[in-house]
Amino acid sequence: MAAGITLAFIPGLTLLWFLFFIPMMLIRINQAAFLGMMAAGKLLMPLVDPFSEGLGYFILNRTGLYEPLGRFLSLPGTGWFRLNDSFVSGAFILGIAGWPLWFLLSLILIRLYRKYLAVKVKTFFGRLGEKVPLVKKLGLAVSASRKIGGAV
Amino acid sequence: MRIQRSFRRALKEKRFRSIRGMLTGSSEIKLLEDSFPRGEDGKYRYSKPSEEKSEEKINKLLKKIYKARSGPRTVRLIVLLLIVAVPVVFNLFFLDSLAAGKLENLLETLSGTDITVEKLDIRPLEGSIRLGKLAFSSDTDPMVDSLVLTELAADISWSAVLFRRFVIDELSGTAALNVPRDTAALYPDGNVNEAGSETGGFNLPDFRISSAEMAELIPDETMKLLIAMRSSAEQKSQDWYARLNKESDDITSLGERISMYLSKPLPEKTDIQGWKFLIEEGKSLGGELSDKSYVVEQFENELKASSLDAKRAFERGRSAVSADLETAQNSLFINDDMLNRWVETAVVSIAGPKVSSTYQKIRKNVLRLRDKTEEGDSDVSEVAGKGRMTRGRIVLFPVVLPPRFSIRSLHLSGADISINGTNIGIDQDLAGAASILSINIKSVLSSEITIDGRETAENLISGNVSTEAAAWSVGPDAPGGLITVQAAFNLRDFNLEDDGLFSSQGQVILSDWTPILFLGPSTPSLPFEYYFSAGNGKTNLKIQINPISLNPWKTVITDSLLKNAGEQLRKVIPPEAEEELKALESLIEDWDDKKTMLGTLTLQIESYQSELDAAMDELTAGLPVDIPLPKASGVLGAAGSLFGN
Repeated sequence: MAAGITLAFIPGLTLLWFLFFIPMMLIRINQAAFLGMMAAGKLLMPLVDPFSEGLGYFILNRTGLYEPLGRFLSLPGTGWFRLNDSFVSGAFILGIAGWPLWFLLSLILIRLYRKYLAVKVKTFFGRLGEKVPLVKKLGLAVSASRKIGGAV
Repeated sequence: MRIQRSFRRALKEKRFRSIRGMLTGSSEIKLLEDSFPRGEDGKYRYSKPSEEKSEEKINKLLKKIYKARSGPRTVRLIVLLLIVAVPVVFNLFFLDSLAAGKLENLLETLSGTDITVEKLDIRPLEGSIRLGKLAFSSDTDPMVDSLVLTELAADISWSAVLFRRFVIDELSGTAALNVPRDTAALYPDGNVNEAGSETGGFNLPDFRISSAEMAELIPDETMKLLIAMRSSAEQKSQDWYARLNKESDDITSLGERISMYLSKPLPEKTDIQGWKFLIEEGKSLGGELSDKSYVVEQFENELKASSLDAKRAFERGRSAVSADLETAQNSLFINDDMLNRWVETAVVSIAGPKVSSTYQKIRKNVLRLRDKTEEGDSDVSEVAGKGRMTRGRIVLFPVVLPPRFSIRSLHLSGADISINGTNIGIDQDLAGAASILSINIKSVLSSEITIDGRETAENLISGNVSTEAAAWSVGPDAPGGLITVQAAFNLRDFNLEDDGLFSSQGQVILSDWTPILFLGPSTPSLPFEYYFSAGNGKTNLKIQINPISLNPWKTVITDSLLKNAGEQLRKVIPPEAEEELKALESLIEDWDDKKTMLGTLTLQIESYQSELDAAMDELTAGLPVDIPLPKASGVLGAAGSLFGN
């Protein structure tokens, strides 16, 4: 879930996004939670973007970064990272630096879910499964996949 | 209780040994071997344990083995492929059509006309782009493409692509002008063909002067003078004639009285009183005859004076009319100022709106291009609708980059057109050189344009244009012909706060005019210098004409005007003026006739005088006493000299 939130911060269709997304899809994590959190996070990002853009502009204008980032961007292919764009760099920095925070937030969200929502959701899908066979089969498939994966 | 899907099918020897090698405890190995007995075909199949406890153990063991497996996670890879590879595959199949649509929209935005893009073939691995046809429709005729580029081939610089830049090493192809279209062009919204409104409705001012306008050139004073002179002469003539008639009647009456006197019988010789009375009566008649002779002499003098006055008035009237006519004719001759003003008005009226419109169109398109290309360098962040931001502020770092867009070498050629260029694009600072574009249209246009966006550059755009007698026309009923232009232009910057950003000056020669109605078939060529400046949304066009070049025009226009205005000039002299002069002339002739009448009267008086003289002689001879009598001729002798006898 924390990785999903981080990827939600990073603007899509940049090389940075793909560089994070592909490894995340290959390591053993709860992919459903990862993709779902990323999708949900994208919906909230318009509220955060002005702040992340300002953060990026502030950081990019630090004199200490001028030379090293210039040398980095002189390397072929680095232009596609769009790190000289205050919006991209700000979102990237906020997503990475906030990872521990997103992790803790994820834990809280999971506990709250299990305490208040999990039973209701299961009951709801159980009743739905009884009436719609296809939903029942999908539920079994989901539970089987959870047993296979097992990670948060 | 079901085991993992991957263990439900038969396991090969190698796979079973691998799984068994993963286990360390003997109880686990035994449990695995018991649960997967070897079949006759050498493969191991799952056999459900009879005891429920053993079934749970083997189930947990298999889950543990499944989690500890090495090798790719198929499901995840499939999802990853779906997310990553689908767009890539989609682009591979549809990239060409998508890029063609994007290119078409971009060029339509920039040019404001209908663009046709056909057979776009992007070959990323080859680093090349092929384009079958790129056509720019005509602004004025939707069934014609003004420029068609075919078989375009572009080699892309991969090194620039790695820096997220687009540089074409070489772009070549063939070009053609004014190619008919199969279907009518659909112009983009807001770019409706305005050609009609730009070219129509102009009427070239001419020098033709109507008779009404010319009539004003004949002052009223002339007419008043003519009328006064004629009236005065006529009045005098009437008075004189009336008085003359009266005198004539008196003379006739006198003649009758003399006849009666002469027919009287002579008195007796003794009748002294009778003789005296007769002599006194003869003297009285002689005196009256002498008076009449004097009066006729006065009439003669009056006639001479009035005739002289009438002749003078006639000459004066004729001179006044001639002077007015000369004034009217002089007004038809063209001076330098008039012609200069006329040409300036005509050229500015014709070319001003078109040049201004063309400049505004080019300016708008260049500004659009600049906005498009500078999006990446903008210092303002951008939000797409209500969604996420699309980009932030770009911070500059010391990076050596290629230009954002450049065509290092451009070669487009066709039967009538040739377009060559080097370093065509933007970011001259990064490219290290200015863009130079050379356009040559056979027998029509030759131009070279330099665009230099470097900080040290004096002008953003500069260049020169020369045409070789290109056809021009203002409209169907307006003048046209061939135009030859030698012009230089420069644009400092697109900063709207400055004045006179764009300026151009040069020489224009208009020749081979379509007939201008009032000038006839031979219209001389017209060379002039022009200066055009634009800035702050305003344009200014000034014309400077060399006076020497206007000489042929002055000759042609003057000849034309005199030829065309001959009849007009005749009409300009009011018929009343001629009538007045004729009346005056006939009055003078009438007086000449009346001079004869005076002669008759004089002869009549002379006749009376001679008769009276003879009678007086007879009377003197028959007098009984010596009575001195004067000769009638002594009294009337001078009358003959009055008539030149």
